[in-house]
Amino acid sequence: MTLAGVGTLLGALFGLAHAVYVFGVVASNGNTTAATQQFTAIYAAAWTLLLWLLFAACLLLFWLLGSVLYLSRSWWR
Amino acid sequence: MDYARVQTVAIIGAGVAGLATARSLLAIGRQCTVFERASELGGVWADGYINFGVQVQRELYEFPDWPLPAGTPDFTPGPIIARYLADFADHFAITPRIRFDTEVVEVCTDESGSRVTTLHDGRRESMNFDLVVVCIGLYSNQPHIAEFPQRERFAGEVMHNSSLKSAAQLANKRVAVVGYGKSATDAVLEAASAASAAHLIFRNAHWPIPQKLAGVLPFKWGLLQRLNLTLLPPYQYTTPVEKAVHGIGKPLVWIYWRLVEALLYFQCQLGSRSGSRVSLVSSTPIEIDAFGESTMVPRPEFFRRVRNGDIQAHRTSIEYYTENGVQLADGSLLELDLVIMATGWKTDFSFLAADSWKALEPADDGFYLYRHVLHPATPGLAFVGRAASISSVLTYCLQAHWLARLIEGEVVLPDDAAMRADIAQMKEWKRAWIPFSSSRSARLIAHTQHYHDELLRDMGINPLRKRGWLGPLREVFEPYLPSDYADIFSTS
Repeated sequence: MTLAGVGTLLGALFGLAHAVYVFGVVASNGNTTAATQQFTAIYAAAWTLLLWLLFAACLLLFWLLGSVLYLSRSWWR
Repeated sequence: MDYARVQTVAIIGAGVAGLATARSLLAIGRQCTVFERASELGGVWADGYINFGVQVQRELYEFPDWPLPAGTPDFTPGPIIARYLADFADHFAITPRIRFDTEVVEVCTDESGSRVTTLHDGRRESMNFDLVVVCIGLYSNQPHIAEFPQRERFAGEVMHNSSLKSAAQLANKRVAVVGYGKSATDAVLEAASAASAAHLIFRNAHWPIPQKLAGVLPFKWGLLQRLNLTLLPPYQYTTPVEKAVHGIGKPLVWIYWRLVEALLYFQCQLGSRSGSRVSLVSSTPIEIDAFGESTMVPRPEFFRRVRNGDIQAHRTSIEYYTENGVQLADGSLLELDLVIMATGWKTDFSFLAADSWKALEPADDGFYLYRHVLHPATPGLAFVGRAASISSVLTYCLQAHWLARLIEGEVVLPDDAAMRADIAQMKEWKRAWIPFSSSRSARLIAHTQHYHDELLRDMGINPLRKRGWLGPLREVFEPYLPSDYADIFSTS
């Protein structure tokens, strides 16, 4: 499996969890009608999942790079 | 304290915070008297050093529903802000309620109300109010001048940067500016243009915030959006997402800030290859350093003039004065005619009665308040403007609105024990990582958005304010500006 594939798979998992959280936050923060708020919350959750799917591979790459540099920082500083 | 019975309010200070408070409390029909020691309103904007101005873009320094006039430049000069504030005060009928040239010399508060004693034309007068709101900002009007040994030997002049009013004061002089904040860089830039020699003496460098990141993107895009908020050292109250980001995502957060440091290093050329061969790189990671007292957005030409040697930078301290200048700790001797101390201001709350002052539990890093506004031990006393924020006009307006909602009963305070627990938690949180300064208790800086969200939630207002089909995307990536809150104030 490629880095992009692993990243997207992880993005789907994190994205789903984040989307559920975003749904809860948006749904509880509104001061419009319940139906409108539900729609807004679902819409925000969908965006959250989409962003994770689109950028997860990039984030994974930076996470790996960051891990290597973070762990070795005492050596190169 | 029963805030519902508040009818008369004394507001100390007619700067941005005082005007915002007066506007919000007048809007709910309370009787306000504003005491201003100067003969004009505007606070720090009424009078400043040469070429002083705002260090943020214009859209960050305006009232949410009262925009700056069209054509106002970014990094707005102080006199324009002073006129803008005067217009605001006239429009909202605040000016007739201001008592100019009136200094508050004593405030005594208790559960039954507050007694304010003032001094005007040498006459003392005492008045009773239901509530006193202190709006004098973080510091006093007393300059802090750093002391060094053998001052009496120095034949030249030592002044605070606030006394620098014209370039003529610098002409043909050898000048050293002490400090590394916005006012220090402004003063040394003036010296580089008008004086015969310009030195900048500082112990620690701090990461600058450039007006435009990479020379292209206004800094608000890197500082004031929720994505960046998630990557900062966690706030006092952390969301599950922030916990995850600073847990499993820590390497990502770490590399993000190192990349930001690299960007600033190359953009501002902070390395020791500058004209003075002095490194301007902070020894503190940027995500921590940015919360210190010297956070600044320098004028773009500052680093260029250090690089080309117009400004001689000395990263050291003054050991003592000599007859003709100063001896520095790194062994060099500077010949000077003028030393400008850009070393900030003293804090002075001596007008508060001793028991009130003691109840606020003051420490070296200031005093901590519930929501940066109230302390349960000082009923009848509130503070607006005691918060160091990136978008301070908005912050003060939200604080004032929160106070007005509290008086109207729409904000319900937790009990005293819960407020004290919140204050204790804030103290512990800030002292754990924010660099020490005399104003640490009031520092919010890049966490400003978290604080605004708290105030809005207390008021029952949705803190997620980006609208439209791209609302969720804008919520994450678009900076929050005062105009995003306009509807809250225009309906009040």
